[in-house]
Amino acid sequence: MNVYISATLRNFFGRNARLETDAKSIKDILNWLKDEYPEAEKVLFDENGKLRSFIRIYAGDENRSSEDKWEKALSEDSEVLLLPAIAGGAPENDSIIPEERRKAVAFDDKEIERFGRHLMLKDIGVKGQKRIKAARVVVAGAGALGSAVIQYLAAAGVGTIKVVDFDDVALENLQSQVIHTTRDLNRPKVASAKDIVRNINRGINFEAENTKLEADNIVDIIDGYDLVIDCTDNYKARYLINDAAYLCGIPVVFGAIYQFEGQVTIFNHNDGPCYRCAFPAPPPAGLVPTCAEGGAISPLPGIIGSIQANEALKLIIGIGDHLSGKILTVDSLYLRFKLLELKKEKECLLCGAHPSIKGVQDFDYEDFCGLKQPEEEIPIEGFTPEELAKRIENEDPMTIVDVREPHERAIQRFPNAIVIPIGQLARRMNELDPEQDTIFICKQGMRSILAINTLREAGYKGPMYNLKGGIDAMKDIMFSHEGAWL
Amino acid sequence: MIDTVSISKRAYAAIMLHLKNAYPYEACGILLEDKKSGTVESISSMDNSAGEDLKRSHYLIDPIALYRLETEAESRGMTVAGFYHSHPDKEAILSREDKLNMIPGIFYMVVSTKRFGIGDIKGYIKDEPDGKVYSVAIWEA
Repeated sequence: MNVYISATLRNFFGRNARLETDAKSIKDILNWLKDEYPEAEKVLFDENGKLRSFIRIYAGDENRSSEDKWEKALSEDSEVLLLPAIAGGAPENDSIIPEERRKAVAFDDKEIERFGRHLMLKDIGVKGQKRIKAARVVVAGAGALGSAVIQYLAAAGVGTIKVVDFDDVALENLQSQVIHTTRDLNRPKVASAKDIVRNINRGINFEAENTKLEADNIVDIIDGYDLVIDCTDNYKARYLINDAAYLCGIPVVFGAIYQFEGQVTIFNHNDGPCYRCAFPAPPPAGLVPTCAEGGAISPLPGIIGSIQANEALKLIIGIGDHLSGKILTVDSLYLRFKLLELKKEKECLLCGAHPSIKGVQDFDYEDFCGLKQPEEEIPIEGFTPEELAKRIENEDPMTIVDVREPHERAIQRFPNAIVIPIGQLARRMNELDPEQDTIFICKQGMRSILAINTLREAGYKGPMYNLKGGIDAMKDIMFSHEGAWL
Repeated sequence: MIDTVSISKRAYAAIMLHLKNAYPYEACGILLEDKKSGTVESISSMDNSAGEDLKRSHYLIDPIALYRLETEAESRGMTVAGFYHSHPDKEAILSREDKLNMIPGIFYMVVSTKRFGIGDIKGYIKDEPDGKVYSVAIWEA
C-alpha cells in the first residue's frame, strides 16, 4: 500500500512524500503511522483522540475521513492520500465587548439625541453605540494624556470609566493637563477628573482610584474591565500594566510623549505583541527623563491622547484598522507621522513560547526598573536640601557640579556651581578635585545619581554626594532671595 | 521557526489582485516557494469551496485540488510554503476557526479587504498542534 503525505504535513513524517506499508485499512494505516512517527500523532489527532478537523484521508478520489469508513478494506493498488483541508472563517466579533453585554443595553430619548452624530455613522450606529455604553474602561494616569482620553471617552458615552492616579494637581501640571484648573490645585487628580466627567454626562459610572499602581493592587484594579488605557509616565507603571493586563487577558492602548514626540500602539490584543515584546527591558533609571524632567509641548498629549481614545473606541465598536502590531510615532515639531511594524517575540518572557513571568507578584518591578539600589554596588551618599543649604551657609569647602543641560540652566541657575553636562563628565573629570567633597545636582536628583555612577565607572576616586530630590526640592529654601529665576 | 517570509513583487501583486477582485467574498490561494531561493515566487489562486451561502465569511481549499497542485509544483522545483486568504470588511487577524485549522510550521497570510481596496496584511505561524500563534513579517522581495 502506498501512502501519499501532503507537502504541508511532511515535516512530521521525516520529510517523506510517499510511504510503503502492509496495512490493509485506513485504521491500520493510521495506527502504523502513529508507531512509525510518534511526532505526527499530535498533528493528526486532538487530545481526545479524534482526527483533527483539518485532516482529510482519501483512498483514490474517495473521501474516507470519517471514522466509520476506516475499517473498510482497501484494494491492493489503491493509493491513500493524507491531505489537509485548508479552511477558516472570518473573525466572529471584532469588538472587545461580548455580544450579551451589548444586547443588555438600552437608550432613552435623551441619549438618542446626545449620541445622534455617532448613530448616524454607518460603522457605529445603534449597535456600536450600545457597545460603547456597555464598555468598562480603566484609564491609568489622569495627567496630560489622561486629560484627552478621559474627556473623549466620557463624551463618546463609555458606560464605565475608572481613573487611577495617586497624585495631586500641581501648578506645573496646568501647562498640559487640561482637565485640571487653577481651582483644582492640591486636590487629587482623580477628583478633578470626576468633576469633568460629571459635567459631560451624569449617566456615566465614574470610579475614582486615588492610589499608586503596585504589584499587589494592579490585578484587583483592572481585572474584569474590557480595556486599559496606559497614560502613565514611568516604566514601572508601564510594565505593571502590561503584565497584569496580559495575565488578565485585557488589551492595552498605550501612549507616551516626550518633548515634541509621541507614540501610540496597542498591546495584548488578538495574539499581538505586548509591551515586553517591544521593550524587553527599561533603560537605566535616570537615563530617559519623564515629562516632569524632559518637558513636552502643551498640545502634544492632546494629539496622542486623542489618538488613544480613538483607538479605544474602534476596539470597543469593532471597526477599522488599529495599532495592534504597529506603532504610530508622531513628531509634532517637523510633522512626521510614521507607522512602524511591531512583532510579537517568541522569546518574550511574558507572552512568548516559554514564558517565565506567570504572575505580577513574582516579578520584582523595583529591581527591574532600576529603582532599587543593587546591594553589591556602593550606595550613593547624598544631602537633603536643608543639609546642603547649611553647608553653603557655613562656607564648607566643596565643589558643586550642575549636570543639567544648558537650556535647563537658562530657567534657573545654581549659584557657584560648575557646569558639566552628563555626557561630558568622564572626559572632564580632571576638572574635579578628588581631595574635596563634590556635590552633584540636577532637576530631580536622578540624573545626578547616574552622574556619580558614571564617574565611579570612569575611575574617579574622590568623595561624591547627590543632592536628594534635586533643585526642585531645593528651590523653596534657597532661591527666593537669589534672584536666580528668569 | 521562521519569522520572516519573502514574497516576490509579482507574486505579491497577484495575491492582492485576486483578493481585491473577489471582494466581498473570501478568497484563498497557495503560496509556492522556490526550493532554491526560499522566496515565494508564484502563487496559485484556488476556488473557494466553502459554498455559495458561506463564501462571504468562510473559505475552503479542496484537498484534492491542493494535492494536484502540489504534485505538479514539486515537478517544477517548487513547494508549498503556505496559504493566503482574505477577510472582507474584517480585520487581518486569525479567527478561532482559522487557528483551529492551522498546520504547525506552515505560513498563513491574512489580508483584510475593503470596499475601496486592501487593508492590513498580516502573516502568522503556529508552533505546535495546540500551541501559540506568532506573527511573521512579510517582505516583498
